[in-house]
Amino acid sequence: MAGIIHFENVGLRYGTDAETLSDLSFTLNAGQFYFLTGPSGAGKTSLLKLLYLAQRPSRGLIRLFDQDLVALPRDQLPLLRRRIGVVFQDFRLLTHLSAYDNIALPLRIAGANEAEIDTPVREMLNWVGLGERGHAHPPTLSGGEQQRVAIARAVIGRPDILIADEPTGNVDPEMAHRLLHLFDGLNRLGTTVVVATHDLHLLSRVPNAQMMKLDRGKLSDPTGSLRYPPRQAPS
Amino acid sequence: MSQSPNKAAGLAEHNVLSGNRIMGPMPWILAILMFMTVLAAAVGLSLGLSAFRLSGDVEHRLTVQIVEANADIRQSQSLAVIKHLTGIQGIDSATAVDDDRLGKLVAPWLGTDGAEAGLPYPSLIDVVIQPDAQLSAKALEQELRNIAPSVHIEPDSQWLRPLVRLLTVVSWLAFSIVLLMMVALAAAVILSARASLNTHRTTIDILHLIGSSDGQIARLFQRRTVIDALASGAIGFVGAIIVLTAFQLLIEQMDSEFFGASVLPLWGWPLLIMLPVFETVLANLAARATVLRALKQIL
Repeated sequence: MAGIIHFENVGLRYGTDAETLSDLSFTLNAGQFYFLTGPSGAGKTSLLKLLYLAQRPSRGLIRLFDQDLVALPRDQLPLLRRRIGVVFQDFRLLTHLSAYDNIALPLRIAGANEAEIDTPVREMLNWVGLGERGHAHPPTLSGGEQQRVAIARAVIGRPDILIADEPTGNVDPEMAHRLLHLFDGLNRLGTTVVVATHDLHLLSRVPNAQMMKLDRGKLSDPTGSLRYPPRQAPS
Repeated sequence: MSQSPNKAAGLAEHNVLSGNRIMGPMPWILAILMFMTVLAAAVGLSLGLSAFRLSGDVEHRLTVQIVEANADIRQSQSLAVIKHLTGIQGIDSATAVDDDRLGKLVAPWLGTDGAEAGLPYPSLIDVVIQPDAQLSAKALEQELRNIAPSVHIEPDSQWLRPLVRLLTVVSWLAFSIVLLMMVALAAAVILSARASLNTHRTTIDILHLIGSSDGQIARLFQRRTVIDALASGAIGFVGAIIVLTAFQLLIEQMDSEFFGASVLPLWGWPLLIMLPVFETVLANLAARATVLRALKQIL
């Protein structure tokens, strides 16, 4: 299976603080489903920031789509970011735009014209169960509805990688199950999915998923961490 | 789906940056700057043209004065001097200043009844010399004394040159003010763009993370700046044109030869119209440069 993301001895430090992430080395394969888990403050969000190109590492090597991210000029980043869909923990919807326009945003950014945008956006609204709420602005939507708009925005550009940061943190268990089902469906279509969560119950919902466990900025079991269930340490 | 990195794809048309397009103090500041810029440019153009015309004239003009109390003698001497002058090589024309014009010239001091009162006005002859002629006013005066002993020649440059110099300085000052206004305008746009960047920082971060290029984001700010600049430029320009038109009417009512020459020439109006266009282009470039520079600090 082809590696789509490759980390080698990656460290991340904010300012002069101690390293938030240390010595991360792993490879994520195309078309796989990954859970990133660990306690609060373990560095999950920081690792996701590296994955969705919101941060550059302080040290180490990151290869994404066979490109060296450390050396990549900043003007090349937008094209890579368009291949990554992100569902943020706090949704990050543009509150002055309707749900329709929020979902259409990645397509407009990519240069699609209005005729190319309308059908996929309406399909996406229906897919996330918001077919009648396209005109609504985020502040008038419930947390779960906003979450679904955020997911629709993340996936409408058919990204190669979908990254979700605590996507079930703001929704009830039933909605959490539905969201996970959506992610699983996308994964079956070939999208690599990385979901950060501290909800261990979710892990059993996607049988083929692999798990990465972070603890205090380090993969706690680097050799077995990309397997689900984790490989048993030799006795 | 297309993956072209630089298409704006109608982002701006969908009001991706929140807030009304024309709001806050910025458009009004631009309107005031444009108002003052147009006035300064109009003053510069008018006075500059006056100075140019006068400087062209003064170097090649003389005024011959015959001070003779006896009107008949004065008249005959005047005719003889004109005849003599027109025969000299290098003199384009020699024309007696008629009584009406003479009356107007002295009216501020003697009133309009001076001619009827029989006051002995001197005869004035307006002489135009060819540009390449080598004539000395002093030698000419000496020569004319044989015809009119009381003749006196005054080169126009003698009294007009300081005025030309003053007009030139004032017109350059006006053009300097235009330049300073443009610098102030660019500075206002830069400050406004920086403030706007801070206001929309969250939106910019989101746009970046879903694949917007710096150029696309800059175009959102440019579009807003251009709309502000066009609207405020139009307001400032119209205000200035109303003031200028009122001034032109006042000048025409004064019926003054000097101020009449200071009226904005026809070709000056298209130049003034170019100012709001130039303002808009400048504001657009300033906004783009500011936003791109700021975005480089963000990954």
